[in-house]
Amino acid sequence: MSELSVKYPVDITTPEEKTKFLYGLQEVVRQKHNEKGEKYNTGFLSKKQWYDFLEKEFEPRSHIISEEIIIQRKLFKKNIHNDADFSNSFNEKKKL
Amino acid sequence: MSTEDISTFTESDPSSLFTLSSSSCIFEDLEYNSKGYVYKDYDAGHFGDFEHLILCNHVDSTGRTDKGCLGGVWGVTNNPDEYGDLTNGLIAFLYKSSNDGLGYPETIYLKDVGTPDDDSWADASASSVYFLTIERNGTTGTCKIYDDPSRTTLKDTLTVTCENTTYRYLMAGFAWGNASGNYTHDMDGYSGEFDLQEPEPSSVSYFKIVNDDSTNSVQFEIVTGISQTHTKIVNTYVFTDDSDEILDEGKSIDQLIITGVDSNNFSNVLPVGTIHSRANIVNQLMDDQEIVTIKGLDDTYQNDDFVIKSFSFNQKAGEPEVYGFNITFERVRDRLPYSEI
Repeated sequence: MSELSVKYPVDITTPEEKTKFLYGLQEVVRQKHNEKGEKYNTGFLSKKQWYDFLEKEFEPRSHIISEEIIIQRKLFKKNIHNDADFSNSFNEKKKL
Repeated sequence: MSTEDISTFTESDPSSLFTLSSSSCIFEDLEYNSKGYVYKDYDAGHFGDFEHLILCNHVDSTGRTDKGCLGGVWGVTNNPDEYGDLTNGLIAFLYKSSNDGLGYPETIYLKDVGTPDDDSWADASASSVYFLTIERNGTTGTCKIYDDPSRTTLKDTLTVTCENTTYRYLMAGFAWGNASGNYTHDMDGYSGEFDLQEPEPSSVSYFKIVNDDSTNSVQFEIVTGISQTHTKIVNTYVFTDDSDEILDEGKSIDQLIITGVDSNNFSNVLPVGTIHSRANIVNQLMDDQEIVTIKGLDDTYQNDDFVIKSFSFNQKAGEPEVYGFNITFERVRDRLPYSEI
């Protein structure tokens, strides 16, 4: 039984880059899901094929992407230290 | 598909903002400081990992728009309350933004109150019905948002970090509940068709079989050990079209069909004989990998997607009735291919 994992391109290394990559990958998986769903709705895909796709392709990929998003997003947030000047970060309009 | 009867949920609703029906929880005029929530007690520790299916709709929002408005549509928690007072739980809610220059986005949120972590989809449309699949797996919570009931068109997947704990209560609706302020930006909407996709029941024991010569059939009668929910199985009749123990052509399993009470449709009943022999036939049918499908446990509690995983019984010496039926069955998720049943 194979274990699914996300394979990042070699030039994507930081949590920020990985988070971006994962949301992009999630969008690709979503579009694939909807393409298959459309085929199922229009009769080009049987019920068995549709559920096979959900069970064997979509759900495992969707699951592993969500798991990775949790990890990388957490690392990304941790890495946002006070390395910028936040002292003047809000505009405030004063009412007369 | 079996959905929760939302009319049985408890309301904390001092301003009568919520209206419950069997299939939906409707809310009207939920404002920034509105109070109220709708929940049901499923006993301590009930909700661990799960996958819940619901639908929701932000029907309308009116009034001032310098503050957002919020309508809760689903949640699991150990302390049901308004959004502003929740201390734990995983929740989903609809949010209509204030006039912040972003075009009043219609947003669906998934939030874990305890961690806290949230994710949102801000491309929702007012008056559209969305079909949510909310899943919790360990410390990962996801909410898949679809815009069709067959869930073939996925709009987005929300992901949050969850507290690794269990929850007791299910919420079908909740207001924002801030203590102060009245901004009169109110939301109308509803949640509904809560399908918790739980084995129902996970284990059932102690039936007895009762002879009924008048109908040439066998009845299941519950003796003990059945929760209140399942007492409706009483007097369900048993039929089979496969009592010869020969596999139907093209099938790899025997099927024993248990249907609801229908005195006009007694066909293919078990052969006449002693109860013991009938029970033996039933038992033989259930050997090894064989699976039973139960359809329509009774006229008012239609369940058409259960499979029995095991089936056994005992008979006391000298007594005609067969006791100690042990039936373990699980509800089949709709997503499973029926070829697997």
